[in-house]
Amino acid sequence: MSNNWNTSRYLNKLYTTAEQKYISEAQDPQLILQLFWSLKEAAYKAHQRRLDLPRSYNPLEFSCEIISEDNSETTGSVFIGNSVYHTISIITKQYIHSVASFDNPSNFISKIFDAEIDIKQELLLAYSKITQQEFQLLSVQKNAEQIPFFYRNKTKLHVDFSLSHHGKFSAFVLALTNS
Amino acid sequence: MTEITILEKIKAIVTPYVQRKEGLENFNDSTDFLTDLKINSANLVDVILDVEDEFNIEIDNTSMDGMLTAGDAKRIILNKMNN
Repeated sequence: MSNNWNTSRYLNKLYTTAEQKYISEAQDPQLILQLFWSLKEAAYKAHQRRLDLPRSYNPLEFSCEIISEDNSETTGSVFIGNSVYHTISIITKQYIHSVASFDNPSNFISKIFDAEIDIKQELLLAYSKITQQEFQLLSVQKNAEQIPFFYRNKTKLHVDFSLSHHGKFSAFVLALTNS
Repeated sequence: MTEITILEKIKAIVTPYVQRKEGLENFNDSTDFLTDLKINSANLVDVILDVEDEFNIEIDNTSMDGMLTAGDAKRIILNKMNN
C-alpha cells in the first residue's frame, strides 16, 4: 500500500466521489480501496482488449460498485464510457484477484501462482490441454498496444485471456467458449 | 531549469518504484515507465504526486493520462511550469 493512501490528493486522482464515500464508510477502508483498484485494473485490461485501445492511465473514468459480498467471492460492476463490466473478486489475506468480463461472467478459468512461476507457460499449457492443441506450436505475443494474444505458429488466435503480475503472485484468466 | 535537469529529477523520482533496473541505464525521453522500467501501475499515482511536489505544479487528469514515458513527463512539467 502506498504511504499516500489516506491523503485526499492521492484519493482524488484514483477514486470517484462515490467510491471515496464507500471507502470511508466501509468496515475496512484499506481493503475496499485495494479492491476498487483491483476492479479498475481488471476492467481496464478487459476494456482495452475488447476495443483494441491504446494504453492509457485514466483510473477516474472507471467507476466501481460492489453488488454482493459473501465468504467466497465479491461481485461488482465497473462502468467505463458506455460499457459495463461484470466483476468477480476473490479476497484472501494475501491477495485480491479480480476478473472482469463483458459477457457471461462465469465462463472462464483462473489460476494464481507464486511469482517465480512462468505464467505464460502455465497459461499456454492450460490452453493447449483444454483445446487439445499442440503446446509446441503455441506462443504469446504482444501487439503494438502491448495487448497479448495467442499465436499458433504465425496465426493469431481469437481467445480472451489476461496475465497479471503483482508482488509475490502472478495469475492468468482464460475465457472458455463453445467453439 | 534545463531539460536535462528535469530528466535527471524524473529519474530520481521514479527510481524507488522501478522493478526493472536495467531500464534506468540510458534514461531518456523514450524510456517507458511501464514497459522499460516495469513500474507497477498502482505506483504511477505516487510518481505523479512526487512530480507535483518536486516541481511545485499540479497535474490534472488529462495530463496524467498522457504521462507514460519520461519524455511525456518532461513535456508536461515544462508546460505546467511555464503557465
